[in-house]
Amino acid sequence: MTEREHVGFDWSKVGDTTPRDAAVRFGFGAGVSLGAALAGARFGALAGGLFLAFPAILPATLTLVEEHESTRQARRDCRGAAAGVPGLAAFALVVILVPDSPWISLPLATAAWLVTAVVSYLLWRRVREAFGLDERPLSDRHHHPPHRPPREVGTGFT
Amino acid sequence: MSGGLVPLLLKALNGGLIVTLFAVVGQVAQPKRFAGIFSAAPTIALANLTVVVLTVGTTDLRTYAIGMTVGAAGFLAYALGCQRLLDRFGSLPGSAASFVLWFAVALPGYWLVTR
Repeated sequence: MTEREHVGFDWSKVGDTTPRDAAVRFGFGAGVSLGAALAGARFGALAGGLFLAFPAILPATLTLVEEHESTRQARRDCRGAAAGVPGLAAFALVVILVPDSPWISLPLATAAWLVTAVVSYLLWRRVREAFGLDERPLSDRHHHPPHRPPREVGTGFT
Repeated sequence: MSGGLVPLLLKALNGGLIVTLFAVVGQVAQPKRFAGIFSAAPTIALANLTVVVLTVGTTDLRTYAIGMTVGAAGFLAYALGCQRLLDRFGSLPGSAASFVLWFAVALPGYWLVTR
């Protein structure tokens, strides 16, 4: 069993964001949001709704994480995103249930997303620990020597 | 009207700002697997639905959210498939190729919902 990962926030890393990184993320976000808006305007609200769950942060983040850290870290980000998907569904469910009071439902849906995503992550971590599931050793094979330990970033995690 | 130029630009601007904000939260979150949940944040939904409510009201809100549940299934396919493709191709080609998985799930899902 691996050592339990410490969950938290290292706010000192906020300063690590370069203007280029921010521009890439802003560009992805604006582009996907515009695409969703155009789909909604052209094909209706249901089609527009599809694109509300289109990956916007993830592709930009994966590219930047691989660039600054490693493919292994990018893959971890990807796994976390998969664990966070129930949160997206929880967000949509709250809006479906309370559509007429948006200034209540949107903050409530955001809270539901956060709680569901964190619980889903913690459950998945527990399952991973209980069954000894870990990453396949082939990660980073195209980018780093096979026995090189992952680069430590920040504090308190594997 | 939801398709007017100003709402479109507002949605794009809003999307860019919210994605950037959540990406910063994801950047400071540790470990990376936990940070990943912020990569699946409902950023585009918040950006678009806020403008929809302000410009056309709540009429279509429920329909947008139903579509979003289908899109979320596509997101799961994207995130799961992307792990494999990252290993094989690296982040940029891998994450770009994974969009096919999103469409492969979201479009049949859309077809099923509209039947």
